[in-house]
Amino acid sequence: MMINSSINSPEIVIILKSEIRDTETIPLLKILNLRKYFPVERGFFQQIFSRKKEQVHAVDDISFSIKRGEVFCLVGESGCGKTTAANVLVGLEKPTSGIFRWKGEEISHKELKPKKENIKSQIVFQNPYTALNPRMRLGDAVLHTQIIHNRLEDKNTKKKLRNAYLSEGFLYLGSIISLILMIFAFLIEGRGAEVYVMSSLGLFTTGIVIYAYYSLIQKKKIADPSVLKLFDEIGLTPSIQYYKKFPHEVSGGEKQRVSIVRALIMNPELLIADEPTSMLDVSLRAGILDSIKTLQLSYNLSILFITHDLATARHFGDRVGVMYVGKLVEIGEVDAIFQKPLHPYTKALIEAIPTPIPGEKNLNLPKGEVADTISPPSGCRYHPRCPIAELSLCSVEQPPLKEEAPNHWVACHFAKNFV
Amino acid sequence: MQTQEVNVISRVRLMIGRVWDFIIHNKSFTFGMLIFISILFMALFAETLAPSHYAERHKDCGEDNPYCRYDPPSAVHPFGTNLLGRDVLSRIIYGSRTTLLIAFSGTILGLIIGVPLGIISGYFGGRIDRLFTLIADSIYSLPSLLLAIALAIFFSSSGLLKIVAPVSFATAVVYIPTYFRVIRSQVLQVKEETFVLAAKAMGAGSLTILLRYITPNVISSSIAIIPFNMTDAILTNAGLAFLGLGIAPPTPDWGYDIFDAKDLAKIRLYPWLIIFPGFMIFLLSFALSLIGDTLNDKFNPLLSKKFETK
Amino acid sequence: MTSSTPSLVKNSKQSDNQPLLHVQDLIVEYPTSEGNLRAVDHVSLSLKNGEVLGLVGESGCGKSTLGFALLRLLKGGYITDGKIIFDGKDIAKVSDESMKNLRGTQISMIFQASQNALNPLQKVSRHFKDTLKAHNRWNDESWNNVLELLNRLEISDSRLADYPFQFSGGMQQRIVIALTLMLNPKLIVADEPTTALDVLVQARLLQLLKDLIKELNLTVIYITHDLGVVAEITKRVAIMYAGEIVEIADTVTIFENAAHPYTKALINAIPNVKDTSKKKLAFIPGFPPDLKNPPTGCRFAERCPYTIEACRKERINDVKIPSDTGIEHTVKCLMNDDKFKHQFT
Repeated sequence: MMINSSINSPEIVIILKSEIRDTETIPLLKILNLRKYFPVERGFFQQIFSRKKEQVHAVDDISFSIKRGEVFCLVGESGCGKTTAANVLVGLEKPTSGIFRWKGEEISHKELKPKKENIKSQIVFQNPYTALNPRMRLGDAVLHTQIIHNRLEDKNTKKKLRNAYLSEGFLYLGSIISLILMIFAFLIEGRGAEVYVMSSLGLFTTGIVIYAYYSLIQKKKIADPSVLKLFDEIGLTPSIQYYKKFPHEVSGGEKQRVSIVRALIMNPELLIADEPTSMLDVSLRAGILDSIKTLQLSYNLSILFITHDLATARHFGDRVGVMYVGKLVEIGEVDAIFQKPLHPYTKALIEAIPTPIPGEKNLNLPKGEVADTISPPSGCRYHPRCPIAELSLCSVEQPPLKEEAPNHWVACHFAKNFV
Repeated sequence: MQTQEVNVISRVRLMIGRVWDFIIHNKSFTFGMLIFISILFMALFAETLAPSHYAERHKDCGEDNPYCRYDPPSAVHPFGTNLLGRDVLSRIIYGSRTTLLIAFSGTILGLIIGVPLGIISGYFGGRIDRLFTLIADSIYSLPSLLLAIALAIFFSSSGLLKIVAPVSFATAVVYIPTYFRVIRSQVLQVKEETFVLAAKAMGAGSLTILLRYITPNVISSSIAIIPFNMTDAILTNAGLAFLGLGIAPPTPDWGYDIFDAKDLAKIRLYPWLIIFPGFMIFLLSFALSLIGDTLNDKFNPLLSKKFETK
Repeated sequence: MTSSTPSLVKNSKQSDNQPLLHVQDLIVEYPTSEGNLRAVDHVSLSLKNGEVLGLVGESGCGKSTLGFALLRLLKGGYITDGKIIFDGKDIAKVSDESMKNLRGTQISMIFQASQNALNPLQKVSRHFKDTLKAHNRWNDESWNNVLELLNRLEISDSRLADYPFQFSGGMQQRIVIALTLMLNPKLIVADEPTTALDVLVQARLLQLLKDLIKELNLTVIYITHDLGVVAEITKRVAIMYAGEIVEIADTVTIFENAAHPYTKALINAIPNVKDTSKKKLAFIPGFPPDLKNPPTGCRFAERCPYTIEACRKERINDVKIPSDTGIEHTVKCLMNDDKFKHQFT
């Protein structure tokens, strides 16, 4: 879409459009039958007396795809498995089973992990307050991704970094040599051995002094232009000042922006955002989402946006997947899901959100509690709470995810009645 | 340029203000630090400060005492002299070197071994962790003086090392588990933080995570232990010397000087022989405890959490 | 329901003109190494019997501090000036001992994570018994009331013998609410009681709270950052910003006819699920001021799109806006002041 607006010649537009269609039909990432079970941690006596191996069905057989340049929202209550799914996709958790197709090619789970030559996805975590290393300057925290993958481009940065590393080398080398010297001194005994003790102490102190000098003074001078550019783009201006601040010196919203920059610095094609705004103040949320949107357009990102807040999903997302107890119950375009939800759970969720409109509301809330993930109910997992469930069918047969309306997939036996 | 200079000046002012604030709010720490620094100063400039060499045998302390034996405190020998006519003040000033050397080497040895083991054990967990914890727990039950005695017999050399080696070894061994435990429990906490997870998601390896993300965040908690470790080293040294397992005579050492004057008859007749070195040992360990208490409040994760409750 | 349960005492409606709580120019300060942090600055509000007031603001605006100050439960902070007149007494000045007696029986607080208040090693029934005994109210009648109340909060008697961990987060919160309401406090300060809960659980709890408030004629100060919740449960709303109440009015007015630019911006920042138009959400640029060193004039001036010179000059006074609902509408903004009105374009 962006390309369209920037090019005027109609012929080129047509060609590009057809190309885009081609690539559009193949999603960026297709996930098939993803499962992730965790073993249940059991008490001492249970371990001895019970043979049954229990598992938490955190993610239980879900399939969905993320198209290029879209925002796919994964919505659900806490414990429904949406965060687990995100962690699997960024390589932090190993799935129990599942097939991944990256741009149509089948890849193993290992290939989802970031590697030097190939960084597919990066993640922004929910809690900005703990997501940054308190001992690293904001700029260094971002730069460190590049350092890990040895992708530094700026020569100046490289040089200064080398100096800083050298000082650390002095510290580690100095302490190791002083340790050896000291042990040596103790072993040789006799006169003159105290020289070794003294010299080892001296070496240790020198190491610390050199380390302190370089890491305090030399590292302060580093300011990588690529990081500064992204800081500017996301609204952390003046970027050079933010570069040198420590996490405790900035607010939660600014921390989250740094986390986003850190995720984007390696140009991933997929950004996974795990409730990036839920811990921030209302007045800042829209700003953060706005920045993500801008960056998404300029870097042509696909975003997997995980949230429990349906209102945000409605405003931010292109497509939505609703999860309940490890299962996807409904997938569809944002407008379709919110205007005409087909699954009773989605309906209840949408109805339950407090709206900023004063006045009396009559809610039909589902009875009971969220199902247990260790031994989920048979058949449809929502049937014990569902107002339209028919026990003979819903408690026996698990409804498959079916396309009930165009691009609108629902896992409910009675979805047809509502189309 | 000018504004930068102004900035520097105001920054320096701010820093001085902060230091002053710290001094005002932590009087006991400042007091302890003053004592400690003056003893350190004494050790560094012993040659200049001491009225005579520690082994010099003085003469001519009046007509009745030509070899200066047990000369009571006077203007010439402010702290008196001992049996061999050696100046007690000079021996105390030179003796601070031995004491501090023991304190430092014992502490650094303990730190260098205990901290990395704690980090590795906490981060990797599993079997390594269980093994290390088991060893640490069993060492924990050893009294440092007993270990030092055993080592002192093993190191049968003479000279300074005779006492430095066993004492610093013994205190280090006894304090390794303390460093290990404190660091390990901190690592267990820090490794669950989101920024470690983020580093993993970035594709960082274990070594990078250990060096860049975990170590800087846990190392400060070991600082609180250092003064206590040093105190223990000094007291163990004194104890060892008192038992006669310490240093050979000409080398100055506070502990040995007390040992030298420990006869009841001598204490009564020549109290300065035992009062001054004993006071110095007390002073140094007192100063270190003052420092340690404040550091403990600032760096001990358990204590600082208690104050943090919102 | 209330007629059959005489002891779920409905708070009496006597002396409607006399406010139950009247806070006058309250100042709460936290001493820090860099000077005093004034978390609540000259806050005044009053609350009638049976009223539900929402206290809304972002984190760090002092709304929770104000709540804690009403119970004198400030940790590390002090009430340095002002009055809190509750039931005719100035509780900012009463002794600690008599304040202790007031807490629980007269003024109660429900916390965000009040589940933690339940002792995991004690059965739920034990909590109720112990509380009643501590207040010398332990008899059959009051026990029946407890059962009634629990029933009302949808917790069945059969589960009383369970331990707290056997309940879900929402149920634990309801148990805590029952513990609070059991002693019939005149004023309840609820500090984000539903924030940590899931959407469905929150909706259910809100519904229950709403019904209970109506039935028992409770007086509640509901502290939250969520304007959606406020719209559902409260009759009046006070908006706090940087330690000050910037606007106070009835809920409908706040949502439909807000006068303060901050209130307007806050309302525009909340996404609405029922909203079909994909309008862009507004956000407020910048950050709240440092409360250790607040600006002299309007505290929102730095982030406000309408700021004029007069805004920064001196302290802004409360301006009354005529309203037809009978509930006072005051706002701390020069845009509504007749003297300055013409200067805004």
